[in-house]
Amino acid sequence: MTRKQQGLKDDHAGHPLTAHVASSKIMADGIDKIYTDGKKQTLALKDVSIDIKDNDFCCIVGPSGCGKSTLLRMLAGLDFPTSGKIIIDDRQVTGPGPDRGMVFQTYTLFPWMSVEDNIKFGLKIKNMPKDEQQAIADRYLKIIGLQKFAKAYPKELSGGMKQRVAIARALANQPEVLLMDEPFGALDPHTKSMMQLLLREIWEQEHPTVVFITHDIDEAVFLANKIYVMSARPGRVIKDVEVRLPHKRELPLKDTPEFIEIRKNINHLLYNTDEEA
Amino acid sequence: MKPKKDRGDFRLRKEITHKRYMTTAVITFIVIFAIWEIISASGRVKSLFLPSPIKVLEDLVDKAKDGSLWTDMGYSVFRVTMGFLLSVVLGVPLGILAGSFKKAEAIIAPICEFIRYMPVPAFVPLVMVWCGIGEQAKIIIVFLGCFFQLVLMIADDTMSVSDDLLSSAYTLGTTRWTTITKVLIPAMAPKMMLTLRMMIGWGWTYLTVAELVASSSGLGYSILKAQRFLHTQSIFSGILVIGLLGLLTDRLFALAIKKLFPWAE
Repeated sequence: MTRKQQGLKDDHAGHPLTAHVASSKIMADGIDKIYTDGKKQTLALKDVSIDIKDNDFCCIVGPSGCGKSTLLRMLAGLDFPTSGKIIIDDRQVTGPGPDRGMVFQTYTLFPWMSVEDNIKFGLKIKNMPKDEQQAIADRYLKIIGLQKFAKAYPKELSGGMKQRVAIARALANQPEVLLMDEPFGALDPHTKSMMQLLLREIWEQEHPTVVFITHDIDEAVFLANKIYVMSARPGRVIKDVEVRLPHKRELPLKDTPEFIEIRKNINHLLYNTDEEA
Repeated sequence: MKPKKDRGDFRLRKEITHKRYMTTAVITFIVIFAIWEIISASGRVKSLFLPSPIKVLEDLVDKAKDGSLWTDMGYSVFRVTMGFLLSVVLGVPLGILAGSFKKAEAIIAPICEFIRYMPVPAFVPLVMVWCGIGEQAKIIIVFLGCFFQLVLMIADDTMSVSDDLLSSAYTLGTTRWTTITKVLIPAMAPKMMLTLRMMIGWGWTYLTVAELVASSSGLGYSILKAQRFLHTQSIFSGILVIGLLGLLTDRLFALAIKKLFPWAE
């Protein structure tokens, strides 16, 4: 629907880059991804289109192996579509860059740097003056509540703390877009809830554009304003769902009928069965 | 029922205190030397075959006094260091290259795999033809022994750095070059040092081979000379000194690794 309109517009204008609507921050248009392994070809993504508005919080859910991580890596410029194009901020993505920060499921802090230096890494690459680096690092250390660990090495941190630093490191770089690939997937349920709350809080304060990949429907509904539901391989977008829940999200929200209703809906879309229990 | 007394030293991977570890290690050394002394003191084995440890120590002290120990040691340490450094200076960059780019790997790895299976002692005559029995010859033999292995092991160390770590560097704004210098190399550094630590041990082996065959100085040569004169205690003391030097380098490397990488898990 959205994509078709977009597509028509593009065709009509002939110059997709200039014709595209200003309010959309991230646009993936008709993405196919085919993996070739010898003679065997695997269609991983089929005609996937997404359109994410500036400052929005968007989740992509789907069963494992549906290509959602591949899609995110394409947005980051770490992988490339077989056909179709990805446009962020009116520019086609041709490679990775500091305008798109990314947080991974695996722990990717640089182990030889202190927490503080990890957060400053992108700023150092940019050759930002030292005092500005420090100011930004301090601000994010405060936001993630790890001021006491500024000088600690990553090995001294728990999994949840590592991911908090990873988020801070990505945000400190002031990216246009924050890409998150199941960042809380390896955490225990309690830590996971706390991290969701923190992330949503950060988003409410700073309004970065977030694309968040997860297979946890609960997590997606709690975090997102908009959810793309993807099918199993070959990955396609089944539907995009607007999450009409209060702007301010607190944990008790997860028990409200509205929340459960949305979750049910998405479950139904994914598995074509009603939620049990 | 009485609770079973279990100090748990033999549970799999159970930690013991450092002190306990050290005493156990020292006792092992003492026991082995004691058995050696008992056997030679019993007189059942001719001292030509097995001189007593005391005699070996005496020989060592004599050589230290007349200075030949230090000259031989100087030669050997110099050769091993040069050969090792040469293979590090050339091998580490090539290994990193092979571990980073598939095309470089295709050029470097297969040929190194091939050459590393060629026994180094077999190269000794060739090296003698090329370089005689001067210092160069020994350095080249140590180099040949270490270099090809080193390239492959460093390539492996390079590849062990996780893709996600490199990807996250890219998304923070690094270029290909800064990803290598600021992320890849620091990330692999501890593993690389472990590899070097292992390599220098092999370096000593190849040096001894070279000194036994093509030399007129050094610890290996002193062993060979002792054999000609049936001076068995000198053979023993020579081997012992090489062992001790190896142990010393290994400990130095271990210490350096601990001091250089306090952040390593």
